[in-house]
Amino acid sequence: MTAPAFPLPDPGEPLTGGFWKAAARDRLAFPLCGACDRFCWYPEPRCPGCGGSGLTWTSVEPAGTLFSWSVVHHAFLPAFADQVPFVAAVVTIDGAPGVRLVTRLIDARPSDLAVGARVRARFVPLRFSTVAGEVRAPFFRPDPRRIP
Amino acid sequence: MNRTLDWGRAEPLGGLAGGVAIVGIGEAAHSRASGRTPTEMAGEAAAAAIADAGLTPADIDGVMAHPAFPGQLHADAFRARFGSTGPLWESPLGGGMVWAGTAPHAAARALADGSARHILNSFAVAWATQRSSMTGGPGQSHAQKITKRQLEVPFGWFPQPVYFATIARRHMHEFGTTVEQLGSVAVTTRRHANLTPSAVMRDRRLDLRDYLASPPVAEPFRKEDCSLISDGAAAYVMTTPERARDLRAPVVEVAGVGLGTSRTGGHWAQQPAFTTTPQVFAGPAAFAMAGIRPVDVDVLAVYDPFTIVTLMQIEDLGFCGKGEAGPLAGSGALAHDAGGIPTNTHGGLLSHSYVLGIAHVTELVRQLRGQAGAQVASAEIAVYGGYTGPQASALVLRRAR
Repeated sequence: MTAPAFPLPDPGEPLTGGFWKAAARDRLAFPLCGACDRFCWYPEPRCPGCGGSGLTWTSVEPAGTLFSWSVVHHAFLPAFADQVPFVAAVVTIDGAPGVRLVTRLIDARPSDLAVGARVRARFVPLRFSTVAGEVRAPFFRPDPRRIP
Repeated sequence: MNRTLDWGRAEPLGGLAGGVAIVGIGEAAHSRASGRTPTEMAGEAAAAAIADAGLTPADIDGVMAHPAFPGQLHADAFRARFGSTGPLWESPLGGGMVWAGTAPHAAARALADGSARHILNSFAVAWATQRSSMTGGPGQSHAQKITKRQLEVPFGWFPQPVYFATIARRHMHEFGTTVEQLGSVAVTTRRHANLTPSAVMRDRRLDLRDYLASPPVAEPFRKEDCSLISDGAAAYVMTTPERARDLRAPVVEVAGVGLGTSRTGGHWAQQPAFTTTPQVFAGPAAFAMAGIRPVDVDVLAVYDPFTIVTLMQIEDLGFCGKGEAGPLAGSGALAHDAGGIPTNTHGGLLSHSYVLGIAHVTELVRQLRGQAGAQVASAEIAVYGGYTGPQASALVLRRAR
């Protein structure tokens, strides 16, 4: 099977593929260093903290906090032309200290967004009209369990 | 908000050996897509800088250019352009971005140890031409980096305008920075470009109402928050302060150089100090070397790919407290004639040209010679703040008395 075409991610890519393989099972996972018990994000062959190579993709509760975002109106790549405007976001993850995850925010009005908002993953098929195939991806949305 | 500075460091550069002065400056025309090659434009800028110094190409025995960018004026290209046959000292520590600020440090060493007598640093880009022909641009190298390609691009967090829009949004949250304050950076910088003959946006006016009325690109950014994409080149010639006195231009000496590095590399999403640049390491080092404080600086040029980077660098260089650059810019203090902190008096990357900061340095030399379009009255000390993301540099220039 050939790898999905850009800008889809390639779950077979050795360094980062674990993230997408977990997402395919609706899991949010990050590499955890067995030696120093720290999440190593972005993935590296060795833990930048202790140099250890025992990094294991570890699932965490897919919930966190909105760190910052941008409502993107311009399609910087042709693949996004039929998706703008969309909200590109950076979120921190409760169960993975130190991790900042880049994601897409959905089901929220941009005017309602605020730094610190509680968010939760919703796993959706990532598709682009310019390339074949799809890859399951963790998008985030305002946490429905927390009604103000 | 990282109050502790454990996320990076000032590189131990050491001093400026026997000293170094900038004695010639030159630029190729800055333009939209022109069909010119970087090599062609770098050669044009070099010829202008050499002539400005009152030298001939045969006097140049050292060239600096950056290896990561195609078509730069390396030794072979210099020989081909100028037909020079003598020995050429060559250094990869030149070019734009942070290197426009640190090249003089490496040059000082080469001048002191006799490797060269007159050293040329140049930088050129043809990104406007490349973008119009779909053969490249500033986002290309980012899309090829595996972690960005796999973990950022699929979500649409790409390219640089989206990174910095996200940083700007966070800066607004942390410090209360407003869209109008970002706009004031764009407007003041444009006004400077309107006064500068070589600026791409020389004839295009911008006021705050125009800015606020323009559509968003990546909120909170509008087009005017983002750098131009242009073709062009700039170059400067360096020699010892002693030899500089025998040349025709007023002597502009390098008084200090600093280089700061973030240990977290080139992923903006993962910078622990999300709204701070490594200028917090570079600036103090350069100021200490020069024996000055921010209050002594007459004119500032900071690498400004986006309006928010102007604000962050002004803060991180210590011209105001962290988070205070928004109100400062909003008050008009960045204008060349406001008596505040004149910043990017040629129009910067936002409105002059996208030659990645080397034209910031040539503008500062013009300021110290009293030859700038948006001239700051009796400017004696100038500072360039270079930036790549994971690194920042600070260069202090002083007009010799």
